[in-house]
Amino acid sequence: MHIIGRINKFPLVILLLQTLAAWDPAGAQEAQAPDSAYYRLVVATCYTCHSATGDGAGAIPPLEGLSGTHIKELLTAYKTGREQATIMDRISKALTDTEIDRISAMLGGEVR
Amino acid sequence: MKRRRFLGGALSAGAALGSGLFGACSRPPGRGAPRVVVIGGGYGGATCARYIRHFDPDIDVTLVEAGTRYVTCPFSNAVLGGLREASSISLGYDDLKKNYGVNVIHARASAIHPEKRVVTLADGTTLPYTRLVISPGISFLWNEIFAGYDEAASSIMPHAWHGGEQLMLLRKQLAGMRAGGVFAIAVPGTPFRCPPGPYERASLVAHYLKRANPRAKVLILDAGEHFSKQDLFEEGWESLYPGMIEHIPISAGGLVIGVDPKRMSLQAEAGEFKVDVANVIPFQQAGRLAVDHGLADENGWCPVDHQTFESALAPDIHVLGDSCLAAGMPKSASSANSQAKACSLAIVSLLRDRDPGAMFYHNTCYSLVAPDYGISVNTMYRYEDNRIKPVERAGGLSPLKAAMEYRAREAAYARSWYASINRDSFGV
Repeated sequence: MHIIGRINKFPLVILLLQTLAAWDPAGAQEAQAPDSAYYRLVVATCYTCHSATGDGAGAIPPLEGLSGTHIKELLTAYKTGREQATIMDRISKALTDTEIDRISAMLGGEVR
Repeated sequence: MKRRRFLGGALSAGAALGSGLFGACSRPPGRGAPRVVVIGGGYGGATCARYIRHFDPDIDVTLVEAGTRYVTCPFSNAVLGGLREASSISLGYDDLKKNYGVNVIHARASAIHPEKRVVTLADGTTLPYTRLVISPGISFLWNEIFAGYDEAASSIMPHAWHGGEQLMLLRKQLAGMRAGGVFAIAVPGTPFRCPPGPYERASLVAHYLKRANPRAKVLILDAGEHFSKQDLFEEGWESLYPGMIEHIPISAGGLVIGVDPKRMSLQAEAGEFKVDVANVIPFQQAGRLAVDHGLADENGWCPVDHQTFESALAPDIHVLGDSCLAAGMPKSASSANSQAKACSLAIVSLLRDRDPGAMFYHNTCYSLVAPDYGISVNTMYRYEDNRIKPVERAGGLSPLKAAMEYRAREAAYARSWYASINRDSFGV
């Protein structure tokens, strides 16, 4: 009650909180309000197994040249079980929808 | 206010990263830049050196590693089983120098002086640091539990757990084993480096013997009861190597309590086993550097803050990889690589007076049961309630009773994973 009372006095704070909520709909799992550096860490995780380019990398698909939209579609399909995989389904289930949005856009080069 | 300051800092971190993941971060940092010294050039140390430069090229990073080549533990069993040549699992540091602007010094770090924030090298050179990262791997508990097993004994009964000469010695012994002989593997108590490693080793040795010495046997004397990917391994053994591999868990007397290299004998609780080749993997603790500098606890491993990997026992010193206690993260190359990325981000934040914030970690571990038969386990983790916690309802094991096509696909992914993690960690 005390906090709500204070917020009502400060519309700008409400705006900030709303912005954060919209930015991070899966906030329950991400209580620490991840920032862009955090998403760079998640993107860096992809590169443990995926190379950027295909030369010499073998069977795991390289990430360079894929659009963000395509990556998002794939990750979502693996997460929901619509697409079968050996390991990406197990990994995608750990990602929030916000994380999928953000890292897809970053990997696709739409957002740095 | 704290959050606003934090977000502001994050935006500037983003700007610093504008060159993208594979953009050049080789430009040298300016004068007076914070200096991070990383000791240990395995997966943890190499990844950490590279990613600090990636996350913030204005930080001066020096990697200290005695060897000029790093022999990887991943795929060392493939070398043992004759699937690869030794040269294919050895990596250098030139790319970290040239492409990522990491200063690489090939020397042994002899002492850490936390009060002065200085590292002394074996030749007497001193390296001052703002923050220190050590990733010293493991060290062996010679003569403990496995009585009589010391460094001298390992020249007859190789551990082959560090790659290099030991691995080649074991490979030679395997190739020279008498027809119908017994190849024994003594498995230490947990935790140890690469939990599925002994069982992948048994698999690839059996693969080799199936052709070269088909009446030979592989005997696993285990200080543990259950093991990583056990059902998957046992399913593979039954179909590929029926009757060849025998596993004796601790409940059946599998704990080795003494070795006699002269008689090629392993004394286990179940009795004495006379064998032809003995691969004895000793009990382990954190790397020597960590233990000698009081960074390990009474169990021999290094407690760390799960968000930053800063030692719980010494400020400004971060401990990564096999040496550290990172909740349930297994001691693997993949864990070390992941911990190093989180630690890099934390160090960059701490040096810029920012909250390190949320963290994400991951371990993916492939094992080969045969050249075209791969299995995997993986777990994703988040930093929650001051701890590394596995993400529920995600990760897991390859399915049992999968088609051979599935196993072949995972074997191909295992090889590809190896190429990628080497690229990611060492920039090769």
